[in-house]
Order: sequence, then structure tokens, then C-alpha cells
Amino acid sequence: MDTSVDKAHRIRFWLEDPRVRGIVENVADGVIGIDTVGYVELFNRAAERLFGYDPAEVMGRNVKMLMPPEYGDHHDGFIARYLDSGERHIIGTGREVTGRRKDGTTFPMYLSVGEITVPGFRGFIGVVHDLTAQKAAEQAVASAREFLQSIIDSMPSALIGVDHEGRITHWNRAAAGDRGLASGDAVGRHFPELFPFVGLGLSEIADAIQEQRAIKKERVPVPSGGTACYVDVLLYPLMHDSAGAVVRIDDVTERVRIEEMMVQTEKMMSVGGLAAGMAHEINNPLGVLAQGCQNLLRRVSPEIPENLRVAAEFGVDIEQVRAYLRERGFFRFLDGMQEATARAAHIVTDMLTYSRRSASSFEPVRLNGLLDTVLRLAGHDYDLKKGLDFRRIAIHRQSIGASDEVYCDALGIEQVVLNLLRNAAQAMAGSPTSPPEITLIVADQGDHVRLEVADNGPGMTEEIKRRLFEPFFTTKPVGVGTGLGLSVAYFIVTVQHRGSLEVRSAPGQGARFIVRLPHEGRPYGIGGPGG
Amino acid sequence: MASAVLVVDDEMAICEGLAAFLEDEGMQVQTAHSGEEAIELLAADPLVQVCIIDLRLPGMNGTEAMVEIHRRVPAVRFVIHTGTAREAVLTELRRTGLQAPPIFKKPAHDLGEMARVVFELCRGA
Repeated sequence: MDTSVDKAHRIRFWLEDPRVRGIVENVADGVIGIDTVGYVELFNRAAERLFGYDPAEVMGRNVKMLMPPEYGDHHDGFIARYLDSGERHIIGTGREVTGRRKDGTTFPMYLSVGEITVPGFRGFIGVVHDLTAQKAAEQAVASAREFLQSIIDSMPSALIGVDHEGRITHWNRAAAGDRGLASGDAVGRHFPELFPFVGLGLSEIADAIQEQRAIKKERVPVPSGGTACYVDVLLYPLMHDSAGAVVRIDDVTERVRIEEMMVQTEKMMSVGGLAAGMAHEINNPLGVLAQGCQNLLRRVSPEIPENLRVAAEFGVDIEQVRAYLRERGFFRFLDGMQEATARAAHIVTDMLTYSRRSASSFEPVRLNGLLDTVLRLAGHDYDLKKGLDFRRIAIHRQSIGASDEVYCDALGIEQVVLNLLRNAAQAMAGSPTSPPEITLIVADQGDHVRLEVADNGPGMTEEIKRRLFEPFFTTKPVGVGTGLGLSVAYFIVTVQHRGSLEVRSAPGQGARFIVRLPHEGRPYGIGGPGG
Repeated sequence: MASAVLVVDDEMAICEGLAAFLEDEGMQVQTAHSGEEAIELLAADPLVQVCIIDLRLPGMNGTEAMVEIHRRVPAVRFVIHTGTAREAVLTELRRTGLQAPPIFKKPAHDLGEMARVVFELCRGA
């Protein structure tokens, strides 16, 4: 119950003065006045708009109705504490808080609170500044920044920002790579310190930025233990900021490897071109050698009646002659000549592979049938007869899936499989402890067929695996094989058939060669796609 | 009756070598150094059962010779002995329409295999 004395000391009655009301109602921010209990004495027009209340709904009620409960519940206590202790927390200053509207929604606001002490009245005046728009803007900026960082981090290229003194200012995830350096650790350090292998010195960087000139270094080797890695490095001065640059580093190891293989292939193909024309010329004299050796062997054999007859004519004992010849190394030398002839023939055949117009000889082939043919050929194969008898090897066959048919060059794939079988047989010949086994698997994998040749030989080291498909790389002793076989096989599968060939092996665990050939075949002729 | 074989190759040493081997096997072997010579020989002695022939010959090539010989003496069976790549051979043969005979690539490391094939062809004929 207000007496007229009280009236003079209640804020709400001050508003009857139009000058006071003019000031209060036209302040752009919300103005709320409360007494020491917390009841609202003043609620200006801006506050009405902010909170969505009519003054009549708010006046005389506790101001905590304008707050979300987690704050409002404590408000009475805050006032009481202040009145008790005089310790200022928000009084005289302000802070960001949350307001609650009539419809229950909340909004961010800046609240600054002052104390009114006039004769007969004590209360508090709060000014409410709506932060909604500001918060939205801050959020937009943060989102944009996050998005930008995400873009930068998502790039597979390493992106490094440097200033004109060559110090790192920015660093994306790809740049950190496997160093385990977080952005914080890299920023501020000098670029050449963290990337010495790039060969970009501080003065070089500074000059490039100064002259607004880009620097490009291609195929820079990266020291990385085992395999060689290569990167392309590009430095771009920043366009709108002449005090910095961006360095981009891309891993191009794969591309370099493919290019090297293609260069190698080119060389082989030009040699192959020569060989094609000369195959017949070379094979004829080789034929004479091969025949001659076989005839020499047979004509000292007691199994041929004609030999016995002529020997008798000369009064010669064939067995004695054989013994003499053996003693003098005759058969060893003949063996050597036959092997050498075979080797030479293989080299010619391998060279010819590179010049074949394979695109025109593609046809649908059932791989299981092809394996049957190859196994039959292997039984007669000269190389396989020497050393390990192919017929003694246990062959296991597996066929998985619906279709084993691929559109391919049958002769080429036969050559690949025969080569893999030879390798397996030779590997196992070197370690005769366990019974030799070769497993052949044909598996339909949907868009391609997987063909595996696995042996239980001694397996190979990481070192050998890496170099296995290099032309002329061989682990066999001098004179055995040409070292071309696997590189030719690799060429036939990957270039001519656009398939893949890989090896899985470890010492003591045999070797598994996996050939993948697309079902519908993508022949790649020597002249380019389309033959 | 001994198998009668005709070896056709322009390389004399190849002819001699093959002849020596096959004769040791008990066959009767004649040689010719060109397609034309082969046809003449067959005209004189049509009892040849198997003809071992190279594809690259002076004058008419091996495939042409095969077609001609087949026309005159259809009973003759063929064995191809060539230094040319197998694929090119098959392509050529397809054009002649002749059924693909056994093909031995030069250098032939296993003449015993060739002899066996010749015996079988003689038996078949």
C-alpha cells in the first residue's frame, strides 16, 4: 500500500514527469529498474520490445521472470548478498547474460547494472543490450573460418604459409604429415629448417616474394628410408599481400614411378620393334644349334641301330666312346650349349612381346581352360625340365565364382602364367626340404577375375619384392633365365591388359602372385588406346 | 613301311639336322629348299605322308605352298616348323582355311617330340 510519501520514492512515479519519461522511453536499449527486493519498478518501451511483455504484466513482479530459471532462481540471493556484503559483482559493470522472453525463448544480452541511492529509495537500474545480431555475426565468422580451415586441411597438398622472412605462418594437416607437428609447433619456425630437402633457402624465398615470382621445383627426392619418394614444390607469392607466400608440396612418387616404367617400356618397345623383324633371322641359326646339339647327343647313343652298325664298321665300342667323351666333359659342354640356345631363344621371345599388336588378338578366354593348356606346356617346357621336374610338383587348382571368362590375349596370358610357374618351380628347386606345391586359383571378383599362382618355396625379402618386376633384375645364378620374364609379364598384364600384377611374400612363407584381369578387357595397343 | 617325310626349309643346316634326327628314328626323309622344289618332289614321289615346312621360304611362302600341296596331294599332313611368332602364324593360317597343323617354334629343343608327332600323323593317315 503506497502512501504519498512512498510515492515520491518509487521510480514508477518519477515517470509521471514527462521529462524523465522522455529520457527513459527513448533510450534505444531496454531499461529496467527494480527495488531491493527485486520487484520491477521501471520497464521501458525498448524492454517491452525485447522481452515481449506489456509493462502491466511485469510491473510489481519479480524481475527474475525475465531470466531463464538457472539464473533467475539465484537472483534473489545475489541481491541479498550484495546488500549484505557490499561486494560488487555486476553492480557498476556489466556482463553477458541470457534473457527470457514472454514466449519462453531465450536470447543473448549484455546487462549493465547500476545502483540508485536517493533519499528514501534504494534500487537498481539495468540496461539491456540485445546481442542477438552480434552473436549471429560472430557465429558466421567462426563458421566461415572453420570452413576455410576445413578446406585447407582437406587438401591432399601440403600448404604452408610463409612470411617474407621465410618463417611459417600457416600450416595445414597435410603439411604436418607424419611429423606429428601440430600447427602451433610449426608456426614461427623457418621453412628451410622443417623442409631441408626442398632446397629453398631464406634468401630465395625473400627474393621470390619481393619480385612476386613463383618458384617451381619438380620431382624433388625426399629422403625417407626404404623406397624413394618424390614431391613437387611450388611457391606462390601471395597476391594481395606482398609480405608472404604459400608453399605447396605434392607427393608425386606414384606418378614418377609410372613415368619411369613408361620410359622403360618405350625403350623395350623400340627394341622389340627391331626384334620382331629379326625374330626369324635369329631363330633359324638358333634352330641349327639346338638341332645340332640333339643330334650330337643321339649319335653317341647305343640305342640307335645305325650308330651300332657304323661303330662296328669302324671297330669301335660305343660304350667306350661314351665313357671317353664323358671323361672329357663332352656331355657337360653339350648341355651348356643347349641351355644357352634356349636362353637366347627366350630373350627373343620376350623382346617380341613388346612389339605385338595385342589389341587385335583379344578374344574371350576361359581362364581355367588356359591354365590347363599352360600346365600341359609346362610339362614339356625346356627350362622346367632342367632343374626341378615340373611333373613332380603337386598342383592344386581352385575355381571360385561364376565366370572365369576374360576378354584377353590368350597367348600373352599363357606367357604370363608360364613365367610365374617357372619362377615358382625355380624358387622351390632351391629349397628341396618340403614337398613342392603350387596352388592356382581362378576367382570371379565381379568386374575382374583374380588369378593366383602361389608356391611354398622359400619366399622373398622386402628388398627383392620391390625390384622384382625390374627388367633384368634376377636372383637366379648367372646363366639361368634372362631376368626379363617378370618384367614382360608385368607389361603384358598392366599395359596390354590394363590389369594389375602384385606379389605377396615373406621369407619362409612362399610367394603369391596375384593377377587381376578385367572381364571385358581393355586392350592397349602399342600405338595407344584402340591399338 | 617306313614313314615318308619331306622337310622343306631354305636353311640347309635345318634340313640336314632334322633329316639326321628323323632318320635315326627310322624314318625316310627327303628335303627341299623352297615351296616350288617341294611341289616338284611331290609330283615325282607322291607317297610322302608328312611334310615339315617352314613358313618363310624364297619364292612362294610356306602357307601358299601348303595350299598348293594340299590341292595336289590332299593326303599329305603338315607340321609347321618356324621362327616366326606363333600369333602371326595362326593369323596367316586362318586365312588359308586349312586346319591348323602342329606348330613347332624354332629353335625346337625337343626333336623327340616332333618325331612323336610325325609318327602319329603317319598312323592317322
